[in-house]
Amino acid sequence: MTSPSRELQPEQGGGRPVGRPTDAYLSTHTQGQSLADVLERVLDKGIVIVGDIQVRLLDIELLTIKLRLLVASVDKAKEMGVNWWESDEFASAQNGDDGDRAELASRVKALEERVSDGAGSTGRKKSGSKTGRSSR
Amino acid sequence: MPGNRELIHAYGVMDPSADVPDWPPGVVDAPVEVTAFDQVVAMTSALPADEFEPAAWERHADDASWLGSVAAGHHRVLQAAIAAGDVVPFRLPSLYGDHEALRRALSDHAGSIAEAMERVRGRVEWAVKLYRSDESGEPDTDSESARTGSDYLIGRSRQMQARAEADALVEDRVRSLYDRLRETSVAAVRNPPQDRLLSGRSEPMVLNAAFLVERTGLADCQARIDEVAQQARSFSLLTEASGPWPAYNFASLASADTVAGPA
Repeated sequence: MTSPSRELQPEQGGGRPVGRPTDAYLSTHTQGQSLADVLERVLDKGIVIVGDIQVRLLDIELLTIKLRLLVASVDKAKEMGVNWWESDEFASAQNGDDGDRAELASRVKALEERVSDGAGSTGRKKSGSKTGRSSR
Repeated sequence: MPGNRELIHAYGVMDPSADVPDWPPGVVDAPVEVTAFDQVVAMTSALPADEFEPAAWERHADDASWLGSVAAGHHRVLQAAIAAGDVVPFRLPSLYGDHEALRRALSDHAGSIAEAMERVRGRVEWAVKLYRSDESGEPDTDSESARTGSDYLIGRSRQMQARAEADALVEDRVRSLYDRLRETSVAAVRNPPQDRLLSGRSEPMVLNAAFLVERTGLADCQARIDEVAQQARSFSLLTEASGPWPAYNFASLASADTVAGPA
């Protein structure tokens, strides 16, 4: 299986360009953020502020691999970065590397078996059943 | 009016002084609202309840593209916010029945939110990954010199020992590079390396680290990353850096290796 080389070098896309002025790093334009990176962070990091509605997610690795499976056929998924799903190419993606996809698919199956026991429980906490005082 | 019911999705809280002139579209392209609560300013969107209530998440639990687009919308808003100021990102899903429920939740967690805000103030997250370019992940091929069973076993055990030694050497080097990177950060964390199916690279990942970096110290951090990347190359390690990220990895103080800040 081959993947685009993204070694850290100034002339290549994907990785962070070397030698850019500091301000550039704080613009909304970012470098090198991949799908897996985004999912890993928004589903597994960040602060948990529990409210009246609770949803527990499935195994994050499983979900992330499934996402990867979906975009395995889109050559430019990485270059498109976090906006890949807005691309029309995604909707009409054609098959790319079949071996890659097959491997991903079998991995998903294995993970599904692993999580099939306690997966996907969701629920709603009873909300505001106390005296309903609005502010503190 | 059933069908028009809405839930509140919270992206996170931000520094009240931050001003984002032009918000990108949020989750399902919903507009982003900035609302001041008792202590904090929260970024929220009103989302259709029938698409985002717990039952809907359950329905979509298997739907990676749905989740991917929700995650993307969430991230997009937080990414826009850190360009303007400091942000404490919330973990998905973060849904509340209405603004009052969100107010209660923020109030219940006021202490940890304030702590998190102090931790990320004036800082952003940067990520560095290292890959072994000397390892394709393919199994060892047996040498043809093994003529007998015991030759094979001896050869095999030598091979495994050599591999273990090589792995230990790589880990030593990775650890030293990680320590070099930590020196220009306020805090750091080593997350489990991503499987190559996630990373999309054939080389095995040996470092998946995140660093909390002072905005004013970004140039030093960049210089250090460049230096580490050079050294990594001499160790047959490839470097990938990404950022700036909202400080996802440092919003809650789970397992970060805190480094003493500047005296």
